[in-house]
Amino acid sequence: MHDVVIIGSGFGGAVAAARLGAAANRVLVLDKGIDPTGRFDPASDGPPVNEQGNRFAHSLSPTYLTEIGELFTDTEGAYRDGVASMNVVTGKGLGGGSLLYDGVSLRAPQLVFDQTRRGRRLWPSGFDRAALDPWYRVVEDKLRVHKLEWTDATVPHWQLATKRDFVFAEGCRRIGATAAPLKLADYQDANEGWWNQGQRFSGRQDLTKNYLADALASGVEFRTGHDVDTIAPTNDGYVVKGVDTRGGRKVEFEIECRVLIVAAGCVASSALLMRSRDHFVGERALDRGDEENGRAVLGQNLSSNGDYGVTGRVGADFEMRVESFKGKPMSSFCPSFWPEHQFILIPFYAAPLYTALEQISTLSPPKHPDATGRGSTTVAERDDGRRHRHWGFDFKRQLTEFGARSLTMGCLALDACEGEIGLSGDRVQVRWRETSARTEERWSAAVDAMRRIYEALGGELFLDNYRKDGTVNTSHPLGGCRMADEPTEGIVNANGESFTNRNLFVMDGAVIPSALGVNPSLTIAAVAERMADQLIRGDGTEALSDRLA
Amino acid sequence: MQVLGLLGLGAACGVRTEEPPPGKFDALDPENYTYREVEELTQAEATLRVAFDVLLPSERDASGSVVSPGANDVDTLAMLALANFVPAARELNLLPVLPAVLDRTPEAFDDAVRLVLAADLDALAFDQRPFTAFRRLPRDLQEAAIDEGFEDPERAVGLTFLRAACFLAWLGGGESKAGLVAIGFPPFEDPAANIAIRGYPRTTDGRLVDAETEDLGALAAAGVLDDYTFNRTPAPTPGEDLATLLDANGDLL
Repeated sequence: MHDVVIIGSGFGGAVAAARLGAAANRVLVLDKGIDPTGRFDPASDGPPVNEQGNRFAHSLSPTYLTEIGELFTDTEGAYRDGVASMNVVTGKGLGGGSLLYDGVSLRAPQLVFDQTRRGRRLWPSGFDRAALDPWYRVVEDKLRVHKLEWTDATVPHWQLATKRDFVFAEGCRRIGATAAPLKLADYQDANEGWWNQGQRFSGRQDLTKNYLADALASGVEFRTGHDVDTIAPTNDGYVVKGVDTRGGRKVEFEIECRVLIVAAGCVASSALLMRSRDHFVGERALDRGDEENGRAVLGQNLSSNGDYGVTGRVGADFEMRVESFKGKPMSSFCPSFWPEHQFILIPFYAAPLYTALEQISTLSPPKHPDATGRGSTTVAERDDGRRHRHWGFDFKRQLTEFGARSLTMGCLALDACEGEIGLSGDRVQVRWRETSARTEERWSAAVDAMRRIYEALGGELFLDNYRKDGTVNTSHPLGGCRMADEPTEGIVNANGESFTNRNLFVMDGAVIPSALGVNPSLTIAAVAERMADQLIRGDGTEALSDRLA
Repeated sequence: MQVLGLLGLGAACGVRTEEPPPGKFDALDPENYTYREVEELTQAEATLRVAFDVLLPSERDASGSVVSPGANDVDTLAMLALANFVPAARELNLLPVLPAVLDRTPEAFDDAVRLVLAADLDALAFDQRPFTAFRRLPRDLQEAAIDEGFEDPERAVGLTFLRAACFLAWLGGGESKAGLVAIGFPPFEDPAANIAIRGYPRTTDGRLVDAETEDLGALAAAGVLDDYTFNRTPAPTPGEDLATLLDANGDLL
């Protein structure tokens, strides 16, 4: 029997693996994806490891995309005009979301922790910015987070913001707002640009370089290709059941442990608990909200973190070509709208693949040029009543001319956690029932600000390709298995432990009880650091050593 | 080569496309634009190649040299045949949600599916000119057929597959870098060592500059620096003080 089994290895699971691996024996990490480095699980599937120490020539290959990314969607509502739906992109493989993220590492502002619903604070007592700051610092040290600068007076060249950011900053200035350089976790690599497209894999400060490396050094065992189907309680712990897919086989496995940490990522962790619900009955029922007041908590309150991206073009008469396809993925942001509207704006790398997302509608004008929010996402028809061509000579030329002057940006905002996670047969689905008026208001304000930035630069806003048909797209999902003070409000307590099942923990984005309004990796890791520390020291809970005695 | 030339040059110059007979086709080598032979194509594959060139045309000058590569220059047919094309395109949102059976068995994207897609194209062609295969239509009617196909929700699914394959291959998803270069990327530098792009700063003629040892300021002053940084602090915004919003660490308060 293992002392601790950790399911998942993203920003929650990796932290748990590093910390608990140093404090306990027989710690095992299971991940359904591959080991992109070959160092953690020599039996991992995937292309051969190259001399760069990874399996991918560059991040454009379908192999990379399918091995490292996973899409959860709403098969009922997706792509139907007028039907709200949701797409969630998550990381897959050892390192989880860190294999895909852009390294942006901002702490959540205090306002996030003050949010309430029905008169109750969303975050458990004891959680606020001041309480998390020490843990933020720990994570920032481990991930080598540093603040970029506008000029190279005091920092090396690779720590500079990009030309794209200067253009964005000028646009912000012209509408009375201000841009600032971002805090970033990167690898001090000469290839610092091209993270998302064309760059060798090693440029990103992913978790295999830090937390997971620490865990490996502590003797933690890693098994990839292990797709966990269900978990169930036993007399003295838990049994994890699933299928080992390595080597093209499908071999069922059962692994027993004393302490179980679920950290498969926001959507997958919630779905795992939902699939396992029948094994937890009576007093051990996972969802007391459902049991006691008929209002399910598990799978509910899924936040998109207010993700909303648009694409546009800077005018030809503007002094500079943006060349958004060069440089770091993200390196500046505009915080000016946070106090009034609770969103930040971030310009980001215009990878050519972004221009090909969805139905390549990025280059189509909106039906109502002055519309905001979801109204801005309806595509204008051509004069002949047909849809715009996203193919052929004209479209190819548009793509060819696009890069130099394209400026892609998006907002991250507080939302009302309108999403939910569900099961349809053996498929995991996400849904977005209805956008709340407050969220729509924030998105409208963000679209309006972004349009004004484009226009101030002599350009124009093109279509918001993310929500053309009312589809909310996010790569920053949060919630579904939230932590709370009361079992009727959440699945786990502030320590991450199940209200009803001793030694069962959730430590990933699923426990985050609200939108953060900033990129969430740092907060997920900081919360996991705090939970792991409390568990090891027995601070406010039973110590790990006592649990394993 | 003859057929590609006809297709590409015909498209670029507005000349009507001749029927491409099934048989031996040539394809551009992704690295150096030399021609190489590919295996004999089926009727369905020949039809698909014609559709690829309508969706993402190759452009050539009068001598037949590639001015701007298209879908067939980046081996889109190979992309379509790739086992993980479907899941990759789906994760990029290039494809709509698929019927579960296809979604779970991407390897089903085989000859049979290619036949169905080609048959769909021929059905679209029928509306333009009865009893005429898609690949035998003149270019303008091929375009009209695809235009109408995208308007029809049922037929649009197949076309969306084809378009996804074209753009995924063209934007670097396969072996070829030609599409990326066409939209402004530098050529991949050392595919053998798995280094696609060594990054920036560079000189305007493409040489990678060592920012630690070379004088970037001097290169910039000489007008030969192609840098992705601008190295200039933006002008301040009148009336706004970020110190009220951000702490010294750069985080929102």
